[in-house]
Amino acid sequence: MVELLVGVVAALTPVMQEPAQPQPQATETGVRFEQVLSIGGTAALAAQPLKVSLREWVVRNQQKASITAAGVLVVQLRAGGPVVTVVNGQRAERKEDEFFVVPAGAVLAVETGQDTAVFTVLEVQR
Amino acid sequence: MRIRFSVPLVGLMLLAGCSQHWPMYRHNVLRSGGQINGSDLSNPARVPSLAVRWTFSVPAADTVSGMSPGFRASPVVYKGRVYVGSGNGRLYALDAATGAVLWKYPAPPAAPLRSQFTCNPSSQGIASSAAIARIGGVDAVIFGAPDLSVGTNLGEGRLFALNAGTGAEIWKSQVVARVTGLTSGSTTQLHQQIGYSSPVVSGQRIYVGVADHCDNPIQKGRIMSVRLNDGTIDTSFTFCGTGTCGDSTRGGGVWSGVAALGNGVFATTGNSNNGTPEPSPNHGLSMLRLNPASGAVTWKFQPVPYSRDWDPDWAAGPNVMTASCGLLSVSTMKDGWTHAIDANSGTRRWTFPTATIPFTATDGTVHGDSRFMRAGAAWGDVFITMTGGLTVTTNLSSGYRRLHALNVCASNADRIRWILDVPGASGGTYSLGAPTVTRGIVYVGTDTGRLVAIADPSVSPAAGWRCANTDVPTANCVASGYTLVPQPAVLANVALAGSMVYNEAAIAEGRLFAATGSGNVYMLRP
Repeated sequence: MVELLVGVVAALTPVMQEPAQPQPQATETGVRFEQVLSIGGTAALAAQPLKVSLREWVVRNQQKASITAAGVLVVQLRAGGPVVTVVNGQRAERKEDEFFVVPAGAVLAVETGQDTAVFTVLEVQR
Repeated sequence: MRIRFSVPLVGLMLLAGCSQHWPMYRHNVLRSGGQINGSDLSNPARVPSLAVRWTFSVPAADTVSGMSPGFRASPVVYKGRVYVGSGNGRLYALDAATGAVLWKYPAPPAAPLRSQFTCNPSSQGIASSAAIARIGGVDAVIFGAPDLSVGTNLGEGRLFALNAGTGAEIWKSQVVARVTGLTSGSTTQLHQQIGYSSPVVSGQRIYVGVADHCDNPIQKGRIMSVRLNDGTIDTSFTFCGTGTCGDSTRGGGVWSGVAALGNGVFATTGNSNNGTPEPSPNHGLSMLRLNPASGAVTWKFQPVPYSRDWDPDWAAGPNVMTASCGLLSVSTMKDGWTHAIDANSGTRRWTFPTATIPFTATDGTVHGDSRFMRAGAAWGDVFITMTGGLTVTTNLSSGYRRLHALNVCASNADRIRWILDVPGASGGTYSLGAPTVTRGIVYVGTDTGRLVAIADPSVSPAAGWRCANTDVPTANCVASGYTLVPQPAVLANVALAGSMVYNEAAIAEGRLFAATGSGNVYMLRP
């Protein structure tokens, strides 16, 4: 009977609401290394400047996010796999520790599920 | 190597439970995952003949549409009876000798225990392993589950205490995990659950963790204290993972079973960084010791700073070890790092692999949603765990199919006792269940349905040697600056039907009991 009464009271009580909180950030990027390097410089070939950067790109769970590759990207999924990626219309499921390449100019789109995905992104740009 | 126990710790071992039974998840309140009583299961000469003696399959008629009969909870065993909750929302009591059903709760045609808010196996039916206790002179089986008949009728979580002999209700607790709506991602509803957290009984209180459903969204973690005699909530005990229990901050979910030791409650917590400013206090991603009366934090170990919290929920609970070098709380975080903390002072004894703690933005480590989630097993000074090992920063996922045995009282140089890639583990994200151990024989289930018995090299000769850095070939190991470590012998490798990644094998009364994702319970013995 006590339980029945508790149930009735609960049914009549407005559903508990939590105060809304600020919208969370969907992604974050941390730059680990960024530098313009000079490659080549032989008699036959003038030195070529290359911009090289190493970033951690974090996409929170239940998100769709994308980055445009200014240069070639060498990407490793470090945590949160499997994750679906789309590059030039090609969908692929990436596992943890997997490496993949994104051509210069392409868009790397990511769809996360229940887990936050962490990528290490090496970008080499002329 | 001899296993040593210090004299003052013998009393603690007694407290931990010398039971030949397996009366709760990880066997005892310290969550040791070990059976210290000898039997054929600890005899390396007998273990190779390990075989299935009976199988119980959940009857199809017990499972309603939309639910799975698979077991995510592990069996507990007491006085010749096996108790295990199913994903179909029913708890089964079986005869340990024959597998015959003694009773089930709720018995059909009564509705099963379930939630309307489900997203993964933690929220489907009963995922919480049970615990045995005495209530009013009666043996009782206590477990957590969602219940559509209480509160909002959406599947709020509560504890149940049943007469272990008959299955009759002794009490049903007040709601301990609130569900106030079904909108995915809603930040104005509560989506709490007991999930995998198994209750622990200490004195006249039961402690159980509360977390969220699939971070959808993340909820404020809690540990609830429930009175053993009547199932009411002890409101003088309060612990919340972030901020105050009444504010809107989120995180610090308690996904696993907490441990208890007289004057301390030990827990590990999930993440708290969901892209919003850091709450204060922030007890997320921590190993904690709490005052058992008030819930106040006695000490906190938090190796991953908020800025590096990319969701490595500390899902493997603490294992409080009565080691020869003192009382330690040891556990592997989801990111693959294993930490040993002095359980009295809260000071860090070691981290494996060695690391400067707290981790930083420039140390090359990543702390994300990896899959090192299983509780470790303790045997004297040995901790057997699924851990990232020396490749934690270079080849993290290779550890998913691997067990390390760590010498908890040794120097860092001698930390690794042995390493084994468990046969029958696929190497996928969920490859291994939680290991259990009896006198140096380790039992672990795999995702392909193998139950594997492994012998510590002190009880049966090792099968060979391998490099401590598992990416380095044995022939190059020493020249590369690493040491060779034993690769223990596999004494038995028994095929079962269904994955065992959520389950531990209970070592009780000279028998081994395993539940699987296919809805089967097995009894094995040599």
